[in-house]
Amino acid sequence: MTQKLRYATPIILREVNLHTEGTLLAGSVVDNSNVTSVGQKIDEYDFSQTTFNHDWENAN
Amino acid sequence: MKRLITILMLASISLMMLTSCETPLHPDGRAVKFTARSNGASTKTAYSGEDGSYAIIAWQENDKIRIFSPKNADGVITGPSETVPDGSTFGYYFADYGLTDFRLSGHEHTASLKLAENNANGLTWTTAGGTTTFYSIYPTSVPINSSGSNLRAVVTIPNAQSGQINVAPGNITAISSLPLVAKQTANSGDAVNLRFNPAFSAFEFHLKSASGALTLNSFELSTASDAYITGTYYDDLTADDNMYVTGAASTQEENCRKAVSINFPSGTVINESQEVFFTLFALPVDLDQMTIKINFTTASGNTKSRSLALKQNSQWINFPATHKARITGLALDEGGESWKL
Repeated sequence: MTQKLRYATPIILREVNLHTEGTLLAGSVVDNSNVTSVGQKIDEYDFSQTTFNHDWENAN
Repeated sequence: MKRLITILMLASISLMMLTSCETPLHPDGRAVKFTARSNGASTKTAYSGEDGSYAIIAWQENDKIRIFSPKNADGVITGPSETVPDGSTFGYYFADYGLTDFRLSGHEHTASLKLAENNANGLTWTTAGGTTTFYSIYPTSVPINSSGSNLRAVVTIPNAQSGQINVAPGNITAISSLPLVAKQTANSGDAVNLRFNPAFSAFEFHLKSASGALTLNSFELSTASDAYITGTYYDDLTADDNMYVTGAASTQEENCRKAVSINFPSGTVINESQEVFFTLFALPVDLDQMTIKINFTTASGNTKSRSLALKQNSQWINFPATHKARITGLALDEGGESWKL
């Protein structure tokens, strides 16, 4: 004869609502969250080099 | 009776302490962190030195950012016309965060997030499983709205700029409207590291004279191409996978211009050894067919305007979007007598 055992998982904190003054706050878990500013790539153009244009022109 | 009152008081105090010290728990059982709102927080883009071929754009003390997601706390993707918990019909969930624990690695500046209370309408990070995509644009002064199903940022690169003349490139600060944008899709429970890329281009000019002392009056950078240099553009964040990293074009522009100019302070003089340097900012689009024009006064009192096409090997230089072009070695040639006005 096989006897079946039944287990019930305890229900803990299943229904937790977070309110403050009637407004639902973000359910945010931010423990592992970062923001990174990656910077801006700099491209160099040296107009003292002969390959660059040196022909200044009159302008209005 | 006195004893009863004492017992009731002690019981009340104990209840208050129990309530105030309780750490609120999220439905998934993890702790939710609330920190004080950082009053007076300001955000602005600022250069903060350089590392190799990158300009460092560091977070500032008291910075805050706003992060958006189209998923609500039940993992449901909302639409622009749906009502979110704060009663608006914005359609995207958001929360504001302060920044803390700053650290610099090479040219990347990282900070940890701390939730700024109340400035939120239900943004969720991990509750529903699956993946969630987060968006952010910095600084928080950039207007955000929705267009169709898209999250839209209204970004302005100023038509009127100061050039921040002779301010060391690494010390240019308080660029209030220049945006950084970030997007990341994360699996539930994963660490989220939003990486912010510039959504603007920069041009840094170093100018001296090839003709003795010259007094500078004004400088103009213009393009003959179809692109615009400054103005207001709409960036539909959720429709743009590249988020300007590769120079995607804006979806719409208004009040845009093909030239940007600055006036020099009175008495700004250059010669063969003394240069002036300044920085102008532009829309995050590839730019070419660029010309500079300088108005100046010679030592003999003649006022002239001279221009130079930005070419290399007789070809227009293509300046990639979102980069900073550092243009050095410019030697203004005042020209011969025939150029005098």
